[in-house]
Amino acid sequence: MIRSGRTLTHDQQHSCDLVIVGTGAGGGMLMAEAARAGLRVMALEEGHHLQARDFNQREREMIELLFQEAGARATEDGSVTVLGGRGLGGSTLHNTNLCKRAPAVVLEHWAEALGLDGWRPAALGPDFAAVEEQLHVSTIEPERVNANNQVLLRGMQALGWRGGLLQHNRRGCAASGFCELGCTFDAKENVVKVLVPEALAHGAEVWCECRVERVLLEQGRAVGVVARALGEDDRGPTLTVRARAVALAGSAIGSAALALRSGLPDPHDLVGKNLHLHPGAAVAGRFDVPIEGWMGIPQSVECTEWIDYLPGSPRRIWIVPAFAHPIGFAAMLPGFGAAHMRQLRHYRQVAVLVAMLHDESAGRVTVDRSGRAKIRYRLGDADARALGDGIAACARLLLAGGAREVWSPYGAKQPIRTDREAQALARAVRPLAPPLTAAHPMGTLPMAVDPRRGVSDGEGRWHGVPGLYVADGSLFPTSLGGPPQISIYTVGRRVARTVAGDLSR
Amino acid sequence: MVNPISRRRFLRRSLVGAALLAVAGTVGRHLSGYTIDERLRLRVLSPKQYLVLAAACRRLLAADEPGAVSVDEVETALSIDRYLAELPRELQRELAGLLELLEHTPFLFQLRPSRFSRLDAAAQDRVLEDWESSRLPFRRGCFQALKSLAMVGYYGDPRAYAVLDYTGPMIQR
Ligand SMILES: Cc1cc2nc3c(=O)[nH]c(=O)nc-3n(C[C@H](O)[C@H](O)[C@H](O)COP(=O)(O)OP(=O)(O)OC[C@H]3O[C@@H](n4cnc5c(N)ncnc54)[C@H](O)[C@@H]3O)c2cc1C
Ligand code: SF4
Repeated sequence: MIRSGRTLTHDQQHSCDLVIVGTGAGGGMLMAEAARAGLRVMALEEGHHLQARDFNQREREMIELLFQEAGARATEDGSVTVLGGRGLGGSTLHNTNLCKRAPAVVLEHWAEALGLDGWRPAALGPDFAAVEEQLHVSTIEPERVNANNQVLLRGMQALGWRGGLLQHNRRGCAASGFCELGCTFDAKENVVKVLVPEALAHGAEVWCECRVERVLLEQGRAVGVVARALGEDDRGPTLTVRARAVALAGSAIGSAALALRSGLPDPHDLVGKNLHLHPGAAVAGRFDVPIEGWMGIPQSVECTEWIDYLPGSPRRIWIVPAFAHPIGFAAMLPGFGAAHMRQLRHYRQVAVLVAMLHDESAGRVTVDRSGRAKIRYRLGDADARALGDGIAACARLLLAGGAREVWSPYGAKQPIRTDREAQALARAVRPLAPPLTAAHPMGTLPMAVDPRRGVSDGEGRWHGVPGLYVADGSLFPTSLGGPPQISIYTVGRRVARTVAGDLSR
Repeated sequence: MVNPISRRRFLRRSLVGAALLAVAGTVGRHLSGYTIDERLRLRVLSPKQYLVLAAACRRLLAADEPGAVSVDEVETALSIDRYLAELPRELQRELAGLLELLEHTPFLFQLRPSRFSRLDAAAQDRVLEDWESSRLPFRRGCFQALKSLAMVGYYGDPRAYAVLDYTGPMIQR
């Protein structure tokens, strides 16, 4: 059953085997798998229960509806905009459906450096495969590659760079191009479409519009949570859920904030640190022909020439197309006034690529007095250099793909018309003036076998607190370097197994 | 997607920013001449902040370009006020402070006995250009925040799509 905190008129108490905070990729999968394993599961979600009929493709309205802090969440210094979802399904409601397993090099590094043997590619393979099957992951058909993505393909071909078609979890996709604003056609094989029905069929109970304020600890053990029903004034009744196990799955920002608000044991001062974001810088190219980048599947092609995933490597850039609807696009273009609007008149003829950084810089989540998450993050020099290379690479790809000129908000010289000018961008971009955009927060409650190096063990158990688990992107000890959802869904699946095993003992 | 608000928390973080905000608030406290139509029913901004925002939007968006719907017709500043109502209170306060700072920038930074909303268009453009290219990160941040808000208010309205040749939603709801 799906219920709403808005229907609560007075404080209530419930009990179950497992209570889950947050219903994104990690929490959604955990909910379905734990319910299927026979546990009595309750999941609490602060956002709304939204369905295809709620998505009207209007950018402004959907940003307010679907994103944390109405899309305005950013690092404290404003240097990185941090997008995250809010609603039953979390960010899977509005993500662009790219599916890629965590790179083998990254997983091997985790095993070697942190003793996470269960995360070696061979050990994870069956879980990845099961998740991909459940979410109907397939390779995007070449005929569905839109003009913006074709530009990247042409650019890679001309430059002889590595890359190709991506995989996704869509079925019945009308190629509308509105993925980031929610899918009107219910084509996303995500938490709401695939996992919630599965969980409900096995007796799970979901409460939306309930924000978990703190985790309850008794004698060192997690025994439940206290949530607040969200109404008009955020001062609604409370919902207390007592449970044999508690799982944090509110995303790398939300889970860390909840852990801090609850004062969860953190003897080695690790909670909230080690934040990785995959910050991205967008670069636009103007063509003589229409591109209409807002139409069609937004991202179907990747360029992997500039990433090798090796720790400490200078090549840490993953490149994909990233066209935006008008608000996002207009905010990204440099300048203002008449000149800005004249550039916008070329909107139809523009293609956009983004250089996404496999970041080694680590930020930190803290909470303010009201309990709201605050994000600190500064790019280190090596990361800034890598990003500079990535911005230059995007400009080169656009020109090689046929752009007449390139606009980068990160370089002084505008517009860029030659490969030589594009290459020079790598050095011209520091310091990064306009904000970067990040959609993949990770790592704030990292796992490691050694409690001095990680908050949780390799199976998501919080070190030293029986009954407490982490089941979202917070667990990753480093950045992934690519789309994280498949790996986070896999976290949910593994933690479900762990909780079911632990509770049956 | 690009965040509609960016670079704004610098004001809290930076001592210079905090000091400037305090001064801007004090300078402006006793100034009058900010009256608006009461029917607007602002949710977050004061009449003064609303008028400063409206003036900034007119310059940031230059919607006097041929074929573009005007900033006032779209009620850009009012639309931004509605958007701000969806944000956490702390953020609302910071953005309102930013508008106070913009209004008193001519006095605080150029020692001119004037206010942003009273300057002519060319002088307003110069203030915004100064902010955009400032060596002080917090002023550049102010500019980005203001610009992003203007884009939310203006390009969030389907009437603004014409200039982009953007087809907009495929469905009518
Ligand atoms: C615009 C965008 C595009 C993306 N595209 C892709 C893509 O193509 N491929 C890919 O792999 N990844 C993509 N991602 C990232 C991916 O969607 C996320 O990494 C993933 O969903 C994170 O899963 P999670 O479980 O950690 O958290 P989330 O999915 O963010 O879910 C967390 C949920 O917890 C809720 N919550 C938080 N705190 C509380 C609390 N205290 N009480 C109750 N509820 C709470 C939140 O409201 C939210 O619904 C994208 C992300 C964005 C923003
Ligand atoms: S492109 Fe496909 S998945 Fe994305 S919103 Fe449109 S129909 Fe839905």
